[in-house]
Amino acid sequence: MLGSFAVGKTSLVQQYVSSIFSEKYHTTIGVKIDKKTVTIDGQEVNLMLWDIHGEDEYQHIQASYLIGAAGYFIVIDGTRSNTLEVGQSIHAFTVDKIGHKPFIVLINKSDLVDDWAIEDYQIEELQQKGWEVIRTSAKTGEGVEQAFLNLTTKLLDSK
Amino acid sequence: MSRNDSYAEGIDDPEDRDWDELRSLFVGNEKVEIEKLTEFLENPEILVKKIAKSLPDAIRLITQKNKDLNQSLINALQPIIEKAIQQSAISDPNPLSEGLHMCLPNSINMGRERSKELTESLAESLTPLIEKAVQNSSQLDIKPLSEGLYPIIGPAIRKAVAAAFKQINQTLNNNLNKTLSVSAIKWRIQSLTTGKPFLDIVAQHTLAYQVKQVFLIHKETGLLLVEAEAPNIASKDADMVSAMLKAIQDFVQDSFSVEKNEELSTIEVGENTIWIEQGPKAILAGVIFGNAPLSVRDRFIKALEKIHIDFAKDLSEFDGDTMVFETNPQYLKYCFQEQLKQDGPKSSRSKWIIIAILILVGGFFGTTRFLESRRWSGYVEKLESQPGIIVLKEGRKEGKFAINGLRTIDSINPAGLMDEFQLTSQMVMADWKIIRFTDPQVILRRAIQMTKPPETVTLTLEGATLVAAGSADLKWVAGAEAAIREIGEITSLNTTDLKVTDAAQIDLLKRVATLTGEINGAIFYFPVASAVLTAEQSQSVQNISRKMNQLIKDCVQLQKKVVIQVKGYADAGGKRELNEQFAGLRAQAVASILLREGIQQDLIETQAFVEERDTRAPDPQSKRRATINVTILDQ
Repeated sequence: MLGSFAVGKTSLVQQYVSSIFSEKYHTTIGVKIDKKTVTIDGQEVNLMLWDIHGEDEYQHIQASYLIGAAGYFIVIDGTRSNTLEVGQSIHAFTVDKIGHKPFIVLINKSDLVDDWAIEDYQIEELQQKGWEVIRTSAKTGEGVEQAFLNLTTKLLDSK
Repeated sequence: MSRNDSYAEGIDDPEDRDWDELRSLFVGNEKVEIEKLTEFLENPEILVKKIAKSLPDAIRLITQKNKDLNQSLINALQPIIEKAIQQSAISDPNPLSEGLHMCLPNSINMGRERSKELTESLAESLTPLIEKAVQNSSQLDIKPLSEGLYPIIGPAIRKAVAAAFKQINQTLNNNLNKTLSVSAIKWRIQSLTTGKPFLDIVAQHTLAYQVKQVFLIHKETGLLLVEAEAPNIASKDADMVSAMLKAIQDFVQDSFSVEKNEELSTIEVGENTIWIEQGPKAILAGVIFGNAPLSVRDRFIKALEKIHIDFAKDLSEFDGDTMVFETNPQYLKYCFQEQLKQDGPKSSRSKWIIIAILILVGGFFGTTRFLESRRWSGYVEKLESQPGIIVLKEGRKEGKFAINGLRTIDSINPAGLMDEFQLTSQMVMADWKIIRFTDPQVILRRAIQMTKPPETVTLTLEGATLVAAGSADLKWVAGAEAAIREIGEITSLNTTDLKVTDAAQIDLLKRVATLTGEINGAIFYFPVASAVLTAEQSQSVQNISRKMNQLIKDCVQLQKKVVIQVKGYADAGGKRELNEQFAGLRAQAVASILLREGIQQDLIETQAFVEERDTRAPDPQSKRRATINVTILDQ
C-alpha cells in the first residue's frame, strides 16, 4: 500500500484484513504487515499486505520495502489534490525500483463529496495511461473488496 | 583501312596515317591481340578479373604440386597476412572474432592436451585476467559470485570453523577433564558412545532450550514458504510474522549502515532468540527458547543448504505457490531440537577449586595442629615423669591445651618446662593443686624421693620422724636433714641406727659444739673506771683461749671458720669519750690475752659499747664488762 501521508491507507484496509501488528510499526520501522485472503474462482489467495509509511516532506518511502512486491496500490486522498502528484511520483519511484508490476490507483475518502478535490479529467488522464482507478471509502467500505479482487486477478494473470 | 584504331583516335596527321597503315601491314593480325593487351594494361580491372578466375587454381596448383613454391608463397604471403589481421583487428574486431570465436575454445583445449607448458603459460596469462574479472564481478554485484559459491562456501566455512572448534574443544575438553564429577564422567561415556563432541553433550545437559518455531521464508518477497512449530506451542499468524521479519531485516540494514553483504543473523529477546540463517534464495528463521548449543544452529545451516540444493528450481521460479514446500517439511523437522533439562549441575570446576583450596588450607592447619599435639604430648610425658607431679587430665579445650593435676610444693613448676616444648602460657590452661600427703607410705615415698638415700640406708617413717638406718656419710645426713625440712609432714630425722661413716667428723662436730657452748657467754666485770682484769679473770681468759685454739683447730678440719667477737662495755655516767675509751680498753684487755695465747689476730673482732644507765636495774656494775662470743661459719 503506497501513497502520501494520511491518505487513509490504513483505515481503508483495517476492516478488511487480519492484523496482528499495531499502528506503531508505521512510525518505528516504517511498515506494518497485514494479511488479506481473497477467493477467486474457488482459489484462495493470501495477500501479504505491506502497509508502508506514507511519503511526506520528512520521509521518503524506504526502497528496500518495495523489493519483492508482486503488486501494489497507490492510494490518493480525494480531498487533497496534491496527493495525486505525490502518488504519481511514488509510482514512478516504484517502477524505477522494481520494474513494472500490477497496480491499481485508489482514490479514497469518496464519501466526502463536498470536499472532493480531484477533477474527473485528472482521473481520465490516469486511465488513459492504462491505469486502473477505483474510488474507495474507508468509511462506507465502497470499492475496497473490489480493489483487492481486481488486483489479485491482475496478479494471477501476470503469472 | 578502318579508322577506329584506339591509339590513333582523334589524331588526323597525314604522316601518322601513313605510319598507321604501315603498322597494320606488319602487325595486322596481331593488332587485335595487341589492342586487347593494351586494353589489359590500361584497364587493370580486366586483368584482375582474369587473374581472379585463375588465381585460386594457380594457388592450389602450387600448394599441391610444388613444395618449394608453396613455401615461398607462404613466406611471401606471411607478412601480408599478419599485417592484414592486425589492421582488421584494429579497425573492427568483429569480423575476426566471428571467425575465431568458434575455434578459441578448441585451441585452448588442444593447447591444454598437447603441451603442459602451453597450459602453464595459458594459465599464467589468464590468471591476472580472471582475478580482475572476479574483482569486477564482486564490485558490481556480489550476488552472482556468492550465489555460485554458496553451495561451496557453506561446507568450506563449516569445515574451517569445525577445525577451529576442534581446537577450542580440545582445550576445553582438557580443562573439563579435570572435572571429576560423576555427571562429567557419565557425559564422557555418552560422548564416546554417541560420537558427539563432549562439549556438546555438556552443553546439552546443562542448557535448557527448545526450538519453538521454524520459518522458511522466500528471501526476495518475504513470503512464508512453510513453517513448523514444536507441539504445545501457540503461534501467531506465521505469514505476517515472516513478512515482518523481512521488513525488520530491511529496516536494520537501511538504518544501521551495514555492509551490503552483511545480514541480520540473530535477534535476542529475553529468554528467546531468533536465529536467521540467510541463503541466496531463502531464509531460515528459528525461534529458540533458552540457550541452545551451536550444533543446533549448525542444523539450521545444513537444512538451509539442503533446501537450496533440493528446491533450487522451485525457489528460483517461486510464484506464490507454496505447495511444494509445504509437502516436504522434513527439512524443517530436522531443525527441531529440544532439551528441557532441570537445572543441570553447575560447572563443577569452581566447586573443585574451592575444595582444593579447602584441602590445602585444611592440610596446613591440620599439620600445624598435629605438630602442636606432638609437642604437647612430649610436655605431658615429661611432666608425668617428674617426682611430685600427678597429671589428672590433659587435652584440648576451647582451642587451647588444658592440663590439671596435683603437685607437691617441692615439685618442678610445670610452667618452667613449657619453653622446651615451644608452648606458651597463652596456649595452655593449667590448673595445678598443691597437695600434702597423709598416707605414711606416700610421705615415706616422698621422703625417699627427696633424700635420695644410698643403698646402704633404709628409711622408715615413725609418726612424724624419719628414721634412717644403715650407714651413710655425713654429707648425706646433712642433705637428708635439709630435705626433710621441705616435707611438712616430717619433723625430725633419727639417725641413731645410722652409722655415720665419717664418725670422726661427727665427734669433731660435737666437740666444736661443746666448745662453742663453753666459750660463749663468758663475761668479765670491771670496777668503775677500770679496764684491768683480775688475776682470776686473766686465768679464765687463758682457759678460754685454750679452748678456742682447740676449737679453731677442729673447725679447720671441718673446713669451717671461727669468728671471735670480744665486746667491751661501759656505762654512760660521766664523760662519753672517757666511757668509750674504757669500753674499748676493757675489750682490749681480754683480746690481748687471747692474742698472747696464740690466737690469730684476724679471727678476733673487738667492739666497744656505751650503754645508758638503766635506773630500774639494781646493779649498775653489770654494765661495766667484756664478753667473748664465737661464731662458726662455713669456709
